[in-house]
Formats: sequence, C-alpha cells, structure tokens
Amino acid sequence: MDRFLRIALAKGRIALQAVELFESIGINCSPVREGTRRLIIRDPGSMVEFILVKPKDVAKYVELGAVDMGVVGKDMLLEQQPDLYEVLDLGIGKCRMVVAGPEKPRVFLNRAVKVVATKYPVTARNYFREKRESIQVVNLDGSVELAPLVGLSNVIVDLVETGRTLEENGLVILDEICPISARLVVNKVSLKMENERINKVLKALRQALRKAV
Amino acid sequence: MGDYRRQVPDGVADILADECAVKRETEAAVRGVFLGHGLREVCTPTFEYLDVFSTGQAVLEQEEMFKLTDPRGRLLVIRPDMTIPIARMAATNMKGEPKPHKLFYISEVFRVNGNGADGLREFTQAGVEMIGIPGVEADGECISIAVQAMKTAGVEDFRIDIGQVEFFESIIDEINISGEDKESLRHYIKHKNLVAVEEFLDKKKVNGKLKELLLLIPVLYGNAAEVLRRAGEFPLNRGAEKALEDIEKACSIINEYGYGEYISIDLGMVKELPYYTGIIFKGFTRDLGYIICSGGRYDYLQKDFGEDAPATGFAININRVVQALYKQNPQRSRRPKAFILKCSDGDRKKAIRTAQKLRAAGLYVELDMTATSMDRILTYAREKGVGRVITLQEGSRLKVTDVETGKYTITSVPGIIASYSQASSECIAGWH
Repeated sequence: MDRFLRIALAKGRIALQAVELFESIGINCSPVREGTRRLIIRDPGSMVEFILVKPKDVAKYVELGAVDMGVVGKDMLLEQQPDLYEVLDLGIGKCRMVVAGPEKPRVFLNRAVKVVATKYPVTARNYFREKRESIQVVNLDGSVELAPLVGLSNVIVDLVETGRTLEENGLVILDEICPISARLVVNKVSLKMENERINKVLKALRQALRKAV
Repeated sequence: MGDYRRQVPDGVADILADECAVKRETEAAVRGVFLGHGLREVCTPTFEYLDVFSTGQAVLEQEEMFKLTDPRGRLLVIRPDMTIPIARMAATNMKGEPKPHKLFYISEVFRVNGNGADGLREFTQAGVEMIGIPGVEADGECISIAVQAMKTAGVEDFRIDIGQVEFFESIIDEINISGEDKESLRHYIKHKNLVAVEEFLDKKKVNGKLKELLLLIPVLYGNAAEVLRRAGEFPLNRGAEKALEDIEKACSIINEYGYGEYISIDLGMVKELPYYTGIIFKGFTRDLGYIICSGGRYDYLQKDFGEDAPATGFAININRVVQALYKQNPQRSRRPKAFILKCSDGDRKKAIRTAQKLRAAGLYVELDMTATSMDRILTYAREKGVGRVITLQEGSRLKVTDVETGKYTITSVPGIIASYSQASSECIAGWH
C-alpha cells in the first residue's frame, strides 16, 4: 500500500460538502475545509490524497487515470459522457437541469428553429433530439438567463437550484430534463486494480449516506 | 489560413529515436509471440472502399473515418480498424484455403476523432484473428496469447478481465422492453451506475430475482471462481448459463497455460461493439488509466462478406503499451549494443575494417571521423544513449571506454564481440 489513493474534488461548494462526507468515514481533509491554496492535500493516515480541480475537469482526470476517483456533478457527466464508472449518488449539490424561458414564448427572428442558449450544448442537443425538435445552440459561459431577455435565444437549458434567479428575471421552467446531484466516479482500471481499497471507501460512504437519510 | 509548417495535427505525433526503439522492440516481442503460436502475419491496404466499413455489422460511424475519393469519385476510407479488412480478406482472397485461418497483423489505424482516452488519431494495433473456429477453446487461446504478448513486451502488473456478452443479453431478453430501453440499460450497466439501474428497473416494474440479479451484474467482477459461484446462485436462462460455461472453460484453458494469475472476470462488461457475440476481454495495467488490449468473439461478421464462419480475436494498442513501459521503467537503457568508434584520417581504413567486423557480429557501430576531442565524443555519446566509445590502439588492440564511468579496458574485436553481442536478449530479459 505504498501508493496514495487519489480523489479529485471539484473546487467550491461541492468540495466542502464532499469533505464532510469523507471526514465522516475517517478520512482527514481539514485543509480543504480551511480553504487551503494547496491543490494537493494528503492524509497519510488513510493514504488518501485529494486533488482540487475545476468542476469541468474532474471527469477528465478520472477518465485518464490521473486520479482513481472523483466527485463530480451529474451535469458534467451528461455533458462530457466520459468513459468511467459512476458508482454512487452522493446526494449533495442537488439541483435540476431544466428548460426555461419567458412564460409567453416570443416569435424570434422569424425562424422556425428554436434558439437555445446554454452552458450544456450536448445535454441540450440530446434533449431536443429526443423531442424530435430542431434547435440552434448558442454556447454561453455564464449568466445564461440573460439570453432570452435580450433576444439572443428563445429558451435556455441550465441548472436550477431554488429557481430564484429565473423568477427575478421573469423566466419560468418549461420542462425538467432531469435531477442533478454529485456522483462518485471511479477510473475503470483503478476499480479493478485497487479494488479492495476503493470498495472499502465505497462501503463506508454507502453506510454514511444511509445514516444521513 | 494559419501557417502550420512547423506543427503536426492534433492526435498524431513524431516518434523520436528513443521511443521509436522501444516501440519497435515491443512490436518485435509481440510479433515473436504471435509467430510462436503458429499465427501468420498479413497486411491489408492502408485505404479501402467505404463500403467495406459501412455495411452490416460494421461498427464505425462514418464521421469516425478519414475519407478520400478515387479518380472515379468513389469514396475511400483510410482504415479505421483491422478486424473488418481481415474479415473481408479471409472471405474473398482466402476462400479456397482450409480453415481455420490463424492470422495476425501489426498495422497503423486511423480515427478522425481520436481513439478513446488518449485521443490518438493514428495508432498501431498488433492483433490476432482466428477465423473458422467456433469453440471457446480459441477464445481461451487468444487470451493466453495476449497474456504471453504482454509478458514478453515487458508490461508489469497487468490483468485481463473476461466477460461474455450473452450473459447480460440473454438476461435482458426476459424483460419486454424496446431496443432503445435495452440500450439505456446496457449503458447504465457499463458504467456500473447502480442508482440508474435501480430507477430503470422500478420504472419498468421489474421485480424479484431478476431485479436482484440485474442489480448485482455491475458488481459481479473479480476473482473468477468467486464470481462464477455468485452468478450461479441465481436461476438463469439457457443463454446466460451457457455464457458462464464459456467463461469457465476459457478460464480453465488459461489456467492450463499457467496464466491464471493474470485473469479476472467482469460479468458487467457489456457489448460495446455490436459485432461481439460471445467471450470478450480487456487488458490493462496499474500504471495506465485506460485499456491496452481488447478483443472478443464475433461469429457473424464474416457473413457481411458472404462467408459463414465464426471468429474470435483481439488487438493490442502498441502505443499504449509503450506508454506503460515508459511509466514502469523510465530509466531503461535502450542501446546496449551501440558503440562509437573514434578515428582520424590516418587510421580510417583500419577503423572501417574494425567496424565492419563488429557490425557483422550484430553490434551497432557509429564511426566518428570528425577528429574531435574525446571529451566531446563522450558528451555526445551520453546524450544519444551510447554506452561505450572505442579507440584504436597499437596493432589489433582496441580501447573501450565506458561513457558513464570513464573507465576503460584494452581488448580486441573478438573480445568485444564475446562481451556485448548477447546484449540484446539480456536487455529484453531485463525488462521483467
């Protein structure tokens, strides 16, 4: 057991909630809680090493085997479709992927295709393909709610937690695509080669989650 | 338009001398193993008609293939895969030959969007195809050959996971759902996503033992005997039972080869290529996050080319093996047979004669006729991974200087040959 088990966490709120979970099963990650600037945090006691990365990058690190496991939002998995094992729903970072827009849809640019603004182009395309609707995607990086207000798009596809931002900007949820939460993902080779250690963590997390419910 | 004169496209790369040497040694090691098992090497064209890759069982999406047009406007593709061209070759040009055909290849293949995790758009596959053998014996042999190839190439700490696509396929046949739903379930099982499997089964009102089994499939992996025992505890239909029997038999063949320690089972390995019909397997090593070889049985592919013959095979991704070797052993000395022979105008003829004799014995001798200082030659040798520099002495005597230590010995042509011409085999043995 000379090797640290590596876990990638998405920087930000999810990392803090995930840390609580990991601490509850006896893995010390207090530096993360205390807002360290270090990007690699080791707990020699449990031989676990945490890597802090951007939410968008977690799945890539896991898929390429740079880390053994990761905590990542389901939204990223839907968008990136990485080749990895998605083994556990951690029940944190809960929100919904939705289609939203003005209550009364406006006729837009006199076009038959719906224009969809989103940070999640793949998810949006898949959703509308299933609906057999033709769309045009405008790929934005943030403040997606703005797009329908200034005539950039008809609707948006985005994450919604409380719905307040939508409400304050006069948008309503038109359809819910799916619920989102943070998932524990595992590299395909690691699950086999580090099976014992990974399963120990999985089992403990499952128990902790059951208790929390 | 940008100026790309000094760049290469994404997903392709120059292979510099050190890496190229490792790559070729790896290919040679794998080729040796394949030949040793009585397999015969074949080549197919670098490009073929699109039709070869786009009919029937053929699996690659059009957008995955590099396309060309011939002078008559017909669509050609640069081969994205070797299994399909070899199926075509066997069904046409080898039609009259008695079966089975036991073939292998070592070839570059090309994918527009890159191949999986490492995203290479050009990579080398070394693969085996056994056409005309229905039995699981051939699957067991294929896996054993793959193990032997990995071992001989020097990959450490590797394992091969075995599955059988009919295990899962037979079980979902019991549920009355659409093809699209089956695909979803396959996708969840593939990602070992138990949450999604459970949600799906609840939605489809699948209950009882069947639900229990489907929820277990993603975690039915690991030690062969243990997994087979756990799966056997369920009431299985004939298809699933036969799948387990196949695996058991393949495993016992692999055990007879003495390779039991290299294999495990994963019953949650589902059909990723639509042409697979039986045993499938994937090989990986601890030091690389993605698979380095994969294969399986494909009994109906030959039909697409007008021949009815069951077949099985696999391919090793040589680029990934090289990557794993580098990770596992970055310090490896790669040129044990290489020498630099220093000479000047006055003794050039003698130097050439000496070099010729050493080369005839299989040593690699680079002549340095620049008459630069010994120091510069030693620096150059160190950079290029050459371990020894030879200088001519009185009569037939030669001085051999070790580049690393600076120590020298006085010897002769037969002396050098006796000491170093066996170095190559030692080097390969040294990988283990």
